[in-house]
Amino acid sequence: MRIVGRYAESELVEGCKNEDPRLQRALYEQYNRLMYAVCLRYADNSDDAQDILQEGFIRVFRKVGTFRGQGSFEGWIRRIMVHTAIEHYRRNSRFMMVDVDEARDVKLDADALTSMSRDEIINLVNQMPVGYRTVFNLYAIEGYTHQEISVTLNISVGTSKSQLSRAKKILQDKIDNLNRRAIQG
Amino acid sequence: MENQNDIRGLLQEKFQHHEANPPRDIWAQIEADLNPPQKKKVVLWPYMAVAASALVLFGLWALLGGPQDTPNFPSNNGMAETTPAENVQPQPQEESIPSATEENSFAAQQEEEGDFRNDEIKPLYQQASTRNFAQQSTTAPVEQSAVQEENQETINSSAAIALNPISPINPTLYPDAPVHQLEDKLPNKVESNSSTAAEAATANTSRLQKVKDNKLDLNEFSLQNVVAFASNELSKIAGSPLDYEHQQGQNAERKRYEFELGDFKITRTSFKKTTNQ
Repeated sequence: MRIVGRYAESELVEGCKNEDPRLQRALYEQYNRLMYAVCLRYADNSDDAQDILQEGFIRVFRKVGTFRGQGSFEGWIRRIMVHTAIEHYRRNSRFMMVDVDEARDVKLDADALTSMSRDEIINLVNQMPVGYRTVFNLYAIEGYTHQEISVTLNISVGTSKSQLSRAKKILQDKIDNLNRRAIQG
Repeated sequence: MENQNDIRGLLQEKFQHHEANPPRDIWAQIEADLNPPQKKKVVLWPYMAVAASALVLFGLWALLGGPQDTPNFPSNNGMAETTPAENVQPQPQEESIPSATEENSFAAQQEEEGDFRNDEIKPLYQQASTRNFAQQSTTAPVEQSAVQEENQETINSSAAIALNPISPINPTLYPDAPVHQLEDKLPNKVESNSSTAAEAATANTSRLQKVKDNKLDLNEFSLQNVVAFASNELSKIAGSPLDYEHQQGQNAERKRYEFELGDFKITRTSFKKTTNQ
């Protein structure tokens, strides 16, 4: 039975706190596409993204009782998904990060990013190593500060900054390559 | 720095409402994880409780004496198993009370039957008092009419046990059978296991002597024998029982006699045929 329609955030929260299967399903139906997009940004592939999405929603349903209504429910769910993705790669020993304090200021071409579609940007981001990609997603898209990233990933703030610089450098190189191909083509 | 903030804002705006469709089976997996199928537990404790209770009850039952014989008088339906009335041959009145010469045969029969009265049957007789049957018979209304009189009576005796609803005895089955010839029909017949033949004979002789002395102790006789004895006493009063059908269409005087033995009340209706001279 597919539940159509949107429920109020408070109604969903209370229903999920009471473990109401109907509202649990409604919550999933309401947020699964949004959260799957988050998972795709952090995952190497769609299979990993599905695993993260499944694990993330299970955590949401089990921890919904801890949601105190401070901030949006969607943001709370998104944070759980991000943490689930990080845990996923850390558990699989694929989340290796070199602690380098060297941070060079790398500037992205804003015009190029503006002209690119979301899928093109995601495609470029997903080509980066997991560590760079994670820091870039957390900082550039999720809006985390380096302090928050350092706490989340259990790294130093300097490492977070250097990882972000390297990520931006890789991304800018790819954007340049795309532009060059476009000019040549 | 401003450029970096612009890029962050640009990317956040681009991905703020980014959506992608996950496979449809994700929810089924989530649901299965949230509600794992519970293994069906085999609940054994009810069976164990029942078995333990049965064991305890059996133990208590065995502790308190085990199986006990309980009086199981046959119901009225059970009378079908007894001798039909038609098959009972009326005995001559002289034989209704055993004579001294019959003591041996009576004792022998009692020996064969054994002393089957037990403590659980006795209460049926405990309220019965010894009655002087001879006195009863002398005071009974026996009319000697000048008219041709033929004592033709039919037996309408019945034994009503006042206290006990169990009324297995139908004296019409043995209207005039002598006491010593009656076979006790009590189902829970307890065989004698202690008395020797000589002791049994002595005991029976003593009982017969009490009967002759009109000091009948009902506790010493079985229910059937008591009823039969009372029936015989009535026969002395009202004459020999005859077929009731023989009285049909004839002018007969009906008299009703009652004979009480403690809780037992035996009635007999006598028809005295009268003819006009």
